[in-house]
Amino acid sequence: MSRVGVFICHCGANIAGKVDVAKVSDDAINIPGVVYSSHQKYSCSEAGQKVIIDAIKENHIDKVVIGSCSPKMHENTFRKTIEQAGLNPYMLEIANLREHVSWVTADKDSATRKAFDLVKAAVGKVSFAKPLTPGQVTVEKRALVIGGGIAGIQAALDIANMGYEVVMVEKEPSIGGRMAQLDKTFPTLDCSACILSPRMVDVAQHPNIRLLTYSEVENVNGYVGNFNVTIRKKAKFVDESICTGCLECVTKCPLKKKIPNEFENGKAPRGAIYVPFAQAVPKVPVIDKEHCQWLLSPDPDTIEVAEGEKKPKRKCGVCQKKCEQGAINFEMEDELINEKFGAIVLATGFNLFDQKKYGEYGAGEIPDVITGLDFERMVNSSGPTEGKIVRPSNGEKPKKVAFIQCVGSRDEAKGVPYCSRICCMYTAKQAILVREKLPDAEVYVFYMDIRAAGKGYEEFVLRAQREYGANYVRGRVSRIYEQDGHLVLKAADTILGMPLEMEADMVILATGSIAREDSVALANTIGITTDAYGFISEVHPKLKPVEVPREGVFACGAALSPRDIPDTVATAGAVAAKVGVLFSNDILMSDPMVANIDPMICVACGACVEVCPYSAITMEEFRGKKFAKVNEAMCQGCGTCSAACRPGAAQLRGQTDEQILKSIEAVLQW
Amino acid sequence: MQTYAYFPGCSLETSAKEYDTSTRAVFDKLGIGLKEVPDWSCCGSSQAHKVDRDMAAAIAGRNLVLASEIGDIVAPCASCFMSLKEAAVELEHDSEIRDTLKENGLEYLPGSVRVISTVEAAHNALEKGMFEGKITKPLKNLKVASYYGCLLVRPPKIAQFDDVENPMSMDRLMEAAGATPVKWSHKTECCGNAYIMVDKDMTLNLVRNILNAAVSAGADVVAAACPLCHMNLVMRQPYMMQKYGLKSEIPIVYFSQLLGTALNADEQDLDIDGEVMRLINKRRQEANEVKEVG
Ligand SMILES: Cc1cc2nc3c(=O)[nH]c(=O)nc-3n(C[C@H](O)[C@H](O)[C@H](O)COP(=O)(O)OP(=O)(O)OC[C@H]3O[C@@H](n4cnc5c(N)ncnc54)[C@H](O)[C@@H]3O)c2cc1C
Ligand code: SF4
Ligand code: SF4
Repeated sequence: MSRVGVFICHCGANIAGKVDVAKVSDDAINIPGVVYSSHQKYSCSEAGQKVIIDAIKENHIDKVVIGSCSPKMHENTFRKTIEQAGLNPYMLEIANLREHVSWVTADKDSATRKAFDLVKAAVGKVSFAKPLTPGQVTVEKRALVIGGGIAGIQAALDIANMGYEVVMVEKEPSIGGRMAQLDKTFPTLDCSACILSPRMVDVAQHPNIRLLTYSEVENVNGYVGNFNVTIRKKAKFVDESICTGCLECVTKCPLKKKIPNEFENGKAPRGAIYVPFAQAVPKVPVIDKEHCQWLLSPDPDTIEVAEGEKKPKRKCGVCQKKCEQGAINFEMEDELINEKFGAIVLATGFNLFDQKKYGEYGAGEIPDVITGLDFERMVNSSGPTEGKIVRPSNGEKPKKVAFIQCVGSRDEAKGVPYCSRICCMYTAKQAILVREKLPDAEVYVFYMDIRAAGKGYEEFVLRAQREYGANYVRGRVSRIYEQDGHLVLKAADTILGMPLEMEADMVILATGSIAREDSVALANTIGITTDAYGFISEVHPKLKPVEVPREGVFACGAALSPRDIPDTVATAGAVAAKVGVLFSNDILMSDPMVANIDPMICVACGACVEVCPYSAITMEEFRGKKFAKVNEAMCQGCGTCSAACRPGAAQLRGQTDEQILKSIEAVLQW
Repeated sequence: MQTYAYFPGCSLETSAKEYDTSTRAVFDKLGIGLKEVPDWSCCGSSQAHKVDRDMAAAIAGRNLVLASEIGDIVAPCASCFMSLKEAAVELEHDSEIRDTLKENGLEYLPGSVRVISTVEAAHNALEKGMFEGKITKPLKNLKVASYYGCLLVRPPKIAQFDDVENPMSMDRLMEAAGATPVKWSHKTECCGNAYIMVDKDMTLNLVRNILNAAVSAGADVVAAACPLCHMNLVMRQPYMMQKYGLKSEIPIVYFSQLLGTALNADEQDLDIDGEVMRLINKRRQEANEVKEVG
């Protein structure tokens, strides 16, 4: 018979405020098998842990139940505590009296009753616990960084500089992300390319970094220290090892003015063979197979023609003829690369709210109503207008420019309820740029309130207003329409308390930040979760802000939530430090609470093989008897096999059928 | 045959008879039945809800109960549509008003009836492909400014139809009828109808802005879907040209009159102004000439 000790925690007033902890503790002593029971203010504190250790030793306790907060919070803490008292750390069961009882129960009596039920169940379960020993796994000291924006670049460089290998996967033809699209950056107005380009080059040249552009992660298997990842390297149709980056092909593609360039937010064209921008890294063009005439034309080999008739040839092929290196290869195919990594870093960034959803601002159909990102490209000297601020409708300099903040952000009806955090600041920056480049132009900024919390941020907005004379109007614009060659804005000035009608030549919408459209799919591939908006969920917003709920996976930058460059770089550095900590281990302890299949009971029906979401079970044969076997390193301990196994051969260690049944029995019996 | 309960409302019996007859003609051509709500009463529009919201819901609720015997209820007048729909939304969760109705022998079952405008009903038919092969007299080359006014799609939580700021359903109907919808700025701007007695100046300024916007966008006609808007936009055009800076007069027609023309409905039912009919034919002719030249 076990000798169980029960420790009920007050958690300050968190549990004790709703649960009669003294009564639960007093009643617990009567549960069969319990030899000791007490309650205390904070079990997790140093003093609290000492009480537990002493009680175990004095009363020869061999199994422990702690009634406290969620096991997610302190299970590990208490495992270490009982280990110090000489017990196997798995001789522990936590009854969650906080998240499952006191925080969610209004009535004190029912809370106390439920708390006691949970303690009974825990005693029943722990009585049948068996000692478990963790296995050991080696750590593959290589990191995979997904996304090559400033977040991924910073994380990759920091990890590589610690001496570890990094593979960076970027889905576009070049790294750089959104920051590469920006002109100047707040709050210091330094040029974005000047601070970013050297880092992009560092990534390409770093001996520890391998860069895979135009690539995507297709599959992720395994566990911390040992992830098996499949990467799809999309065919570029240009041989990177030969291409010199002369771009002769790009200038000759007949479609070079025909396809909207995504990098320019569609406001300037590219060809079917292209590099997205001049400073692209790597500076190797790719052929877009959706548009290339050669690739779209039918393969002559597959065409049957009547005798004597000529077979039609492939169309175009100009780039291939022009390339002196012979780097163009139309036969190229997607490549699947399988690699092993110890850690995965997600740095996939963000997207922008679609202005088409605002019918009152012309639903994207008024040429002079553009977005902040369009404006970044416009003021950039390598952008579509070579840095000239002009009205897209007629190419003339605007005399009056209006900015509208919170387009899509803080709008529960049409957009998202949250604040995108960066738009107040980039609008102030853009207002300054307009006044700098066009000193005669008037600038108006329509805002709800100004959120400029950051070092030097409020001062920056004040500069836009005082030094640069941007006129800030507090109020929403309700409609924009074209009239006689200019725009009419209808708005409210909520400080004057008056409706306002204003003419302008150009309007710039600060569209909010949203998650990338494929973020949920990517999260599913990796086996992690996203929040309601599609941003990656962190384990704890305060204490584990870059960890995600799958060990060995980390996230940084705007993939977590909208943020500016300083915050992005800070989280990227934090991720690198966490990866460094992980890689400082040669060996990791693996969780022993994994499935185990008893070959003597197994009837080899194969049900478990089919249901295992991690493909951790295979069929084996020994001396003519077939049975299923779990690869313990791959098993994630989900328990699906154990639920599917009819004879009960598959059992999850630490959660066996016997333990579960005993805990149910305990609640019903005593 | 699909059949709607039809709620003409008071305007369609008086000032907007052509809206009534043309609506019936259009749905007849589409093969959709319209059965008038038996013994319908005032919808309470414009006034009732300003006095007492519960009373307004009960007044409109009576019509909903009567309609529920037939099916979903279609209202051509935007103002009727909004009062009925607002009542329907309120009745869904307010059991007290339901009880009041019940005491008067009218039992409202939540979810029993949906309120839609004639624009929505026609648009549904369009989406179901019910126009196919029926546009025998397309309105070629006719530039139409579709005017939705303030009540057809707003407030969005109640109207539950189309984009609230840039509705396109009527534009798509006009396109289906062979006409050319114009992009314009004032399709949902308020026409100020309710204020004409209180502040004539304000109303006429609003109307002038709407009509000038349609004229500047190059429209031949404005299509309306509400008898109140229609009356307001039509009535004082010559006076506004003199006193309010209206650029030029522009005909206002019901969208159902235009649809009916394209569907080759009975001319008498459509009752289109002779002047407008001549314009429609002129545009058709121009279209044909262009084709011949091309
Ligand atoms: C108009 C505008 C102006 C701004 N101005 C400033 C400013 O002045 N100062 C400032 O501090 N901040 C500014 N910002 C914010 C700044 O852009 C962001 O803070 C920064 O870009 C975030 O970097 P990131 O690497 O997290 O994301 P991103 O820049 O979005 O980079 C993510 C990268 O991951 C890649 N990727 C995405 N999904 C996948 C996938 N599935 N597989 C592989 N790769 C993938 C993308 O192609 C991209 O290269 C501005 C933002 C906007 C929109
Ligand atoms: S084959 Fe022609 S269309 Fe295709 S990328 Fe080369 S030049 Fe462009
Ligand atoms: S940062 Fe400013 S503009 Fe952007 S959503 Fe927040 S409050 Fe609105």
